[in-house]
Amino acid sequence: VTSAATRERTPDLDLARMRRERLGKLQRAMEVDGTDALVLSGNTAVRYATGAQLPSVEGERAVHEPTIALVLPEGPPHLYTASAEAAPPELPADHVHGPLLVEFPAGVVALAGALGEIVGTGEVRVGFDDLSAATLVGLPSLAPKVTIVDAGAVVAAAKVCKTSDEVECIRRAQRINELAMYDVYAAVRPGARQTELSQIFYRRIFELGATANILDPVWQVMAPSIEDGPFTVHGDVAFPLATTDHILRRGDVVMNDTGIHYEGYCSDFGRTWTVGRDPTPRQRDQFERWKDVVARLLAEVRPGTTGSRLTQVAAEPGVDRRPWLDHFWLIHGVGVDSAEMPLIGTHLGEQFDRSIVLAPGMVLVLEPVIWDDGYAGYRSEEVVEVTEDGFRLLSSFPYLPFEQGPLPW
Amino acid sequence: VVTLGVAALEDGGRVDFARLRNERRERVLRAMEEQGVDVLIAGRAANIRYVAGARRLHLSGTRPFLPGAVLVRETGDLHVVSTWDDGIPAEIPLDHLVMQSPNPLNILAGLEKIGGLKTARVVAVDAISPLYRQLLGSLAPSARLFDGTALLRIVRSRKTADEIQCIRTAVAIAESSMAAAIDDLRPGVTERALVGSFEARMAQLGITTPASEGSFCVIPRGAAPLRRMASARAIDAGDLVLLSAGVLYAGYEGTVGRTWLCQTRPGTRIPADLADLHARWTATRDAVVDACRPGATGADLAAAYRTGNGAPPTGPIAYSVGLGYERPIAGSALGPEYDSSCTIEADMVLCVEAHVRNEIARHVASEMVLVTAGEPELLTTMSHGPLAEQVTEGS
Repeated sequence: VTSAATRERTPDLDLARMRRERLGKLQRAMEVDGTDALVLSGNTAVRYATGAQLPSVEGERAVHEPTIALVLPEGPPHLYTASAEAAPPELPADHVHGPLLVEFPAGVVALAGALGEIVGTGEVRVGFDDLSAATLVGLPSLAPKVTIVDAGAVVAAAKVCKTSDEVECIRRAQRINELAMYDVYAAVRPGARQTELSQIFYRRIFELGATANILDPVWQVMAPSIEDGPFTVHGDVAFPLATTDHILRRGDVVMNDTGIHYEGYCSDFGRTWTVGRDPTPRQRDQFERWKDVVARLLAEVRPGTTGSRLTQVAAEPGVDRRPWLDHFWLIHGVGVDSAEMPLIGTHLGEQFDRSIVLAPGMVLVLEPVIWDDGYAGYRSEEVVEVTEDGFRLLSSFPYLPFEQGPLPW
Repeated sequence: VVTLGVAALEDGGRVDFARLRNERRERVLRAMEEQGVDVLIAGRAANIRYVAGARRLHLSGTRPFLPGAVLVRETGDLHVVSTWDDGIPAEIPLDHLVMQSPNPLNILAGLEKIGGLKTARVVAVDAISPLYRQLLGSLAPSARLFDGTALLRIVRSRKTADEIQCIRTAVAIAESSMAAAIDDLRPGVTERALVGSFEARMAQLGITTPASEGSFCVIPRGAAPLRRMASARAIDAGDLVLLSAGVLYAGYEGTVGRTWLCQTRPGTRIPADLADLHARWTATRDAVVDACRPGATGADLAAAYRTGNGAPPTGPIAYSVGLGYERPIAGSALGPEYDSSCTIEADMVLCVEAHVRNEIARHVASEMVLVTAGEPELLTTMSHGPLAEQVTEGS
């Protein structure tokens, strides 16, 4: 029997320390920004700010049975929840309150009351990550001295560099995800259905200790050319598409994408597999090109490197197409959100990429994609922590069926 | 005739999804007309699904606000934020797709082309972020913002025949998945492994989207609060276990909740006090379900719960279900005044949760109920296992 106490602290993971250090980072970011309070209702932001344990539920239940955090620049946060299990043990009892049901006008009245009582009745600048429609319509007149600002930048600034405990949670999440994937990989053969792969995945992740699954596992069979795939607004590859009962055929190229939670932290697993057949020479070449891109990136992953430097070195000599998907990114961060800052190589633009400077504690997912129109392509994800003098790999799943052994870097 | 399953049939049997989408959209347009709303912007996945029928990649929990579907009342024009047409119904033209982007200004540029938005006087949104609240100012400069969640809550409440069929299917999948978890419930299994048993069976039946990863939790003895989050705890013989989880079929939720006794050998006799507890639970459940009739209010359901000697509830006694959780009906933190304002109507689907206790044990379980013009219909059918069997044997 595993009690909460033994889970709370092991030699390489101290969850109480993690919560304390996270809150400290968030409060420092509030101070820098001049925010008087944060009202957070997004599951990941609430977990980050308070360490609250939240159930894994579909979005409508999540907003109708909310756990909301009210964070001040000093002192413990306030937690508003109907759950007896949400609050971490160190949160004082007078900081744990009944739920604020802000989907309804009565809940917005209660929110205005809580703001008045805890933040004060003067002019205040309060960051929100999300506004329910009732809050949007009702709060301005109920709390006329509250200036509503976006909490996004403050929360992102706190989250971007992880503490050692946060990195350990991501490492464990990634490990569970990868271990489950050995069983899935063994089942990838002609005649298997996409949903059967999800079946194996679900059983294994919970046996291995995942606290939740976060996205419908993707096992996309790639059309060889963009034209043969779904229509896309931007003319690039459509990925990721939702899983169906599609039956795998010999020769299919499957790009997968899965993610689970360990103590609120995400894994991110992506590989490309061939079904029932060894990779063709062309597919091997795609994989080699993908490895070259990652090798060039890893050679630059260390504190001080800018995002734009990374997009530059990723480009393949003599190839027009950028080696990543146009609607996504070359690199994204991972933490309590499966894709968070730093985002590199996005439509936020070149100037944004230049503003990103790698720092110790960032956890990056390198996500290049080689696309060879007419012959599909190769995509995998590699998870790395930026350290004081370089990087540490957090992923270790082999590049089957292209390479059997350990990772090439 | 009801046939449950997820495959399409060549005769067009089971759910007519084109009709389902059409009827939903008609209802939304009618409500916009009645309430004087010019444009509706849906950002939450269930609302996007209701308005546009978009089958998107499912993610658990809350998501940051992004506009997902824009419906203009005057023209009935529907735009969807999606980079591709996979999962987008054929009635939405390709030039009505707006590219998804990490840059909100790009999405804004896509939305600016929608006719009717610039001149809209009333724009309903179902949620927003402060950033998009600001951006919306340039998109619809003269618009008053309207509570789109309240509008859609009423629209979504009464189900069409096709929606009810989706919910029946979801309930059947949820019960089959729960039966698989119960097959694996024996001394030594961890709570979390049962989540995996449930979801693995769900996926085997062709559905990969849980409505909630559920409660697979040993019920504490005595006065300690109920646990709802599965842990690494190993379940022991003699433990009473709360089993509650749901699935989404075409977005529609089917949920089942049971209290189950973990036995060394299934079928062995159980203590009389547990059998008595189940009899009391059944009485409470029957009282609330019987009250689920058109014209009754949430307050009537709460009164029936008290009459049926239910223990103080730990969550709503009843809530409305459709494309996931819709709204509490009775016994929530919104209080008795809110309960009185919730009127039960035919074609609503409710999840009813009853809770009874004695000095040492508790029994918590839920049923899904279809409100009809006549008798309420239980959509959940699965047994209560060892606890219920004992009652039958003794009577």
